[in-house]
Amino acid sequence: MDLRNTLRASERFVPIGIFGAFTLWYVGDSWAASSRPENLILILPAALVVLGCLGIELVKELEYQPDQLLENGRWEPVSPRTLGLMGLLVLYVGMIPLAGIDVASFFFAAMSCWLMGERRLWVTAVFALGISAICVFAFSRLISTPLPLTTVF
Amino acid sequence: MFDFSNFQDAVGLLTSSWQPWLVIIPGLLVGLVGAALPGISGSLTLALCLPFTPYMDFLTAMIFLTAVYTGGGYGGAISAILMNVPGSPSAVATTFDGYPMARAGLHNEALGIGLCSSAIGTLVGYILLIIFLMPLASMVLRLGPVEMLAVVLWGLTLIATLRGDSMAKGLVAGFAGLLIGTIGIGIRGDFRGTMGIDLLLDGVPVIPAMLGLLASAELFKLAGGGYLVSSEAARRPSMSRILKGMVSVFRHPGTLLRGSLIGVAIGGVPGVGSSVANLLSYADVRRRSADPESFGKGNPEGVIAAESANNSAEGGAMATLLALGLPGGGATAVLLAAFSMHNVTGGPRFINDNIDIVYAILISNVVQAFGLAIVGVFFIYLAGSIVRVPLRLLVPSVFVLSTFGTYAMTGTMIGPSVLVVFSLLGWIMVRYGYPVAPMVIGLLLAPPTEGNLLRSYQLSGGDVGFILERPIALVILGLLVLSLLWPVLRRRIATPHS
Repeated sequence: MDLRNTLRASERFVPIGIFGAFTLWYVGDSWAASSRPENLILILPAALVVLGCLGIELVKELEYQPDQLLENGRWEPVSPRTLGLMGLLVLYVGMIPLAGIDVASFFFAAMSCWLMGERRLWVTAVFALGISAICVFAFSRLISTPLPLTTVF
Repeated sequence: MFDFSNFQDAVGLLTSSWQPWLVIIPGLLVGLVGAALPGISGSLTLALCLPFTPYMDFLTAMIFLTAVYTGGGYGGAISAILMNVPGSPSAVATTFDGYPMARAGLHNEALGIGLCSSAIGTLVGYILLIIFLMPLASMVLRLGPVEMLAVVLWGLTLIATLRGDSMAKGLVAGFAGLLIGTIGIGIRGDFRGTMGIDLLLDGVPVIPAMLGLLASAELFKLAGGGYLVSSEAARRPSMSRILKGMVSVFRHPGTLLRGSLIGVAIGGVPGVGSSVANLLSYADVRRRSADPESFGKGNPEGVIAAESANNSAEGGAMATLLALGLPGGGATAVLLAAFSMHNVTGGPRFINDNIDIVYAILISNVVQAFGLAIVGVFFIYLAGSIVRVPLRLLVPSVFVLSTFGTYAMTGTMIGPSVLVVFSLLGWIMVRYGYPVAPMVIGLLLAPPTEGNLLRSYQLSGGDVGFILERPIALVILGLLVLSLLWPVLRRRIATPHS
C-alpha cells in the first residue's frame, strides 16, 4: 500500500485523537483548578466514560486493515467544494473584527455562492449585497443589536 | 382546584373589550417569524417585544406576550424541519425526524404535523393548567435537586437512544458534550477549560454550538447540490399536503397525549423545561415503537412527540410563573419582567387576589392554540417555499444569518467563533460516524446535571441512601428504569414462549 492510501486509512483516527486529547487536557486543567469533589463531580466520571469508549473504538479501528478499509468504501474523498466552504467560513468569521460584519458577509456570500456553482456575476453580486444588507438592517435597526460594522464607508 | 365563578368573571373580562383579542394574531406572527430565524430564540423575541407592553394594560400585555411565546414555541420547528437548524433548544428533537422528512420531499407534511402537534400540545397544556394550576404549582415546590437530577438523568438516557450505529461512538459524543458543557467558571468559582479567554468564563454558548453541530455539518454536505429536495414536483408548497400532515397527527393519539403530558410535567420544573421535555418525549416514543430503527430517518411520530411536548411545556412553565413567581427558563423570565413593568408580583398572593385575571390569561392561551393552527398554516405555506431556493443561494444565506444571529445572541465574537469551531467538529464527527445529536444533548444538559448533582451531593453528604427519603425522586427513577426496560419487556410480552 502506498503512502497516500496509508494516510487516507489513518484519517479514521482523527476523531479519536481530537476527543482523547481534549478530554485529557480538560481533566488536567480542571484538576489543576481544583481537585475537590465539588469541582470534579461530573467532569471525572464523564471523562472516564469518554476515554473508556475511545479505547474500545481504538481497538475496533486497529482491527481493520487499511486495505480492507479502502476496499469497503469506508473512506470517501472530501469534495473540494466542501473544503472550500469550510475555509470560507473560517475566513468569514476571522474577517469580522478586521473588516466589519457587513463587508465580511458580502465577501463570504459572494465567494460561497460562486464556489457552489453560480457563475453569473450579477446574480452573485446582487445576492451578496442583498443578504448582507437585509441582515445588517434587520439586526442593527429592527432589533438594535450593536454590530461590528465596517469603518471603511 | 377549579373555581367556576372566577372562571366566569374571566370570560366576562375577556368579552368586555375587543382590545385583548387584537394582539393575538400579531403576537403569534412575531413569535413565528422570530423563532424561525436561526439564532433568534423565542426568549430573545419576547425580550424584543417587551418595550411595547408598558403601553398596554396588564391583561392585554400578557396576552400579547404569551401569543409571542406560543408562536415562538412552534417557530423553532420551521427552521428545524426545513434546514436542520433548530431555532431554539426546545426544537432539537424536531430535527431528528423533521429534517429527514424534508429531504425526502415531505416537508409540507412535516410542517403540518409539527404545527398540529404544537397547537394540540399548547391546548392540552393550558387546559390542564386551568384545571390543575394550584396542585401543579405545589408539586413544583416539592421538587428538590435530587428530583431535578432524576429528570435530567432521564434526559441523558437519550444519548444511548440516539447512539447511531455504534454505542461507543454515541457515548463518546454525548459525554464529550457533557464535558464541553461544563467549561467556564464552576459552581465553586474554579476556572475550567477557559484557556485564559474571558469570553469563555460563562461557558460555551449552547445555541451557536448547537447550530454548528446540527446545521453547519449538514450544510457542508450540501455544498455543490442543486436543491434541498431533489424532486421538482415535491418542492412545490402544497396546502393540501400541509393539511394532510395535520390530519395525520390524529392517527397517533397516544404519542400526542403522552408528549403533551410529558411537556406539562417537565415544563413546570424550573431550569429544565421545554429543552428537556422534547428530548424525553422523543426518547419515550422511540423506545415504545415497534420499529425504533425508523426514528431518525423521517418517522412522523418523532415530530409529533417532540412538538407536542415542547409546546405543552409552555403550560407547565406558566404554572410555576403564575403560582410561584418562579421563571422556569429564559422566556418566562421575560414574562416575569413584564409582570414587574406593570407592578405585579407573581406568586400565591397574586393568584388569590387576581384569579380572574389568571384565568383570563389562560383562556386566551387556549384561544391562541386555535389561532396558532390557523395563522401557522398560512405561515408555513410561505415558509415552505425555502426548499425552492437553490442551494447555491440557500447555504450561504443560512451561514450569514446564523453568524448574525449568534453574534446578536452573545453580543461578542464568541458566538460566531463557537459556530465555526462546532461546524468543523460536527462535520468531522459526521464523516467518521460519530452522531452529533448526543453531543447536543450533552451540551444542553451539562449545567443542570452538574448543578443538581452537586446540590444533591451536598444535601446528602455523599450518602446514597438519602435518595430513599425522596419518594418523588424514587418514582421518577422507577419510571426511568421502566422506560429503559420497556423494549425488552414488550418483546417478552409479545413472544411469551420464545
